[in-house]
Amino acid sequence: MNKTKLGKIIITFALIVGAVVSVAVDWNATHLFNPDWHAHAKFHDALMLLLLCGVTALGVWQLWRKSAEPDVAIKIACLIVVAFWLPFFYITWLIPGTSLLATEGVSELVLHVGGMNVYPNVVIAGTLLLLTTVGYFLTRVEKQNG
Amino acid sequence: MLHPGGSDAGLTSGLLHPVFGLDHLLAMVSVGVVSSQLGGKNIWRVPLTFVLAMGFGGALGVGQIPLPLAEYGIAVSVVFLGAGITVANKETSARLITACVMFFGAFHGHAHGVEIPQSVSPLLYTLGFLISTATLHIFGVVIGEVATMKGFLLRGLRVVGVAVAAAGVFFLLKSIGIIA
Repeated sequence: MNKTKLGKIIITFALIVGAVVSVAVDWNATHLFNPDWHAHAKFHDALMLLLLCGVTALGVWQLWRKSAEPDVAIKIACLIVVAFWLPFFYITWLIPGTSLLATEGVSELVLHVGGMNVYPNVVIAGTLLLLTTVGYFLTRVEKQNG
Repeated sequence: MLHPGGSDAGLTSGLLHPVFGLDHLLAMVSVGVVSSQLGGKNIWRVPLTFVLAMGFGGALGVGQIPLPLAEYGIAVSVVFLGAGITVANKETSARLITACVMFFGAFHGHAHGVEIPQSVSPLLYTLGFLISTATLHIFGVVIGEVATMKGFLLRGLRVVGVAVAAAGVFFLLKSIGIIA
């Protein structure tokens, strides 16, 4: 298997896992069907999930379709992952009042590293961004080596 | 999305479980490295076999169906895969490696399944540890691929394989009770 194909497989994995994990985590009573949530908040969560699934399908299609510009397709697929998962690192600073936890006070899975709280969703975001970066560079290796 | 606790905590617990057990972590990354050394379609076939076997073992574990000598199986898998990193190449029998990976994957899955927290969804927990396992395989494949770019990296990787096998021997002795 050449490195370009391996890189594309890794980017595809990051795209699909991101969508699957997001739906698996939100499509339940803690988020989308949480009776304490405002109906419009549920609407926006559903909108986000469906948009993510659609954009993920678009990214996978871009990656694997026959294209005169495969490099552009790879960049688009990578940027989809970056666009969705990078905000996990700054949303709570950008918009006061937001939280990485759906239920405050439940923190057994929050890691404490060097005095900092590391939330599991941020770990997932970081992992998927790392995978995408690795996948992207693998697609570049053969091009750089001619 | 995602919060710890509640009905979705199963996914998070499952995702984190393989990462925080050194024996699981070493075995899963090693599966990726070995599959990369075998090359060709084995790069995805071997890890996929491990993930499927884990799913089977995990189902047994979630159902609390016993799998004899599972702890020993996990330790031996680390020894085997460490040795695999040291010696495997494109001429190595992919069928033998795949069969062994299938055998050992069931032990790892069983260990995850029996340790499922009572408050979580078995389906999401299983999905979590399978995704995490596949991710660790990918990192292993990438390590293997990067190592092929430079001779000294490949030689270094072979030495790492010896260290992984030694860690497996340590896990085995600990399981048997020779080391406290």
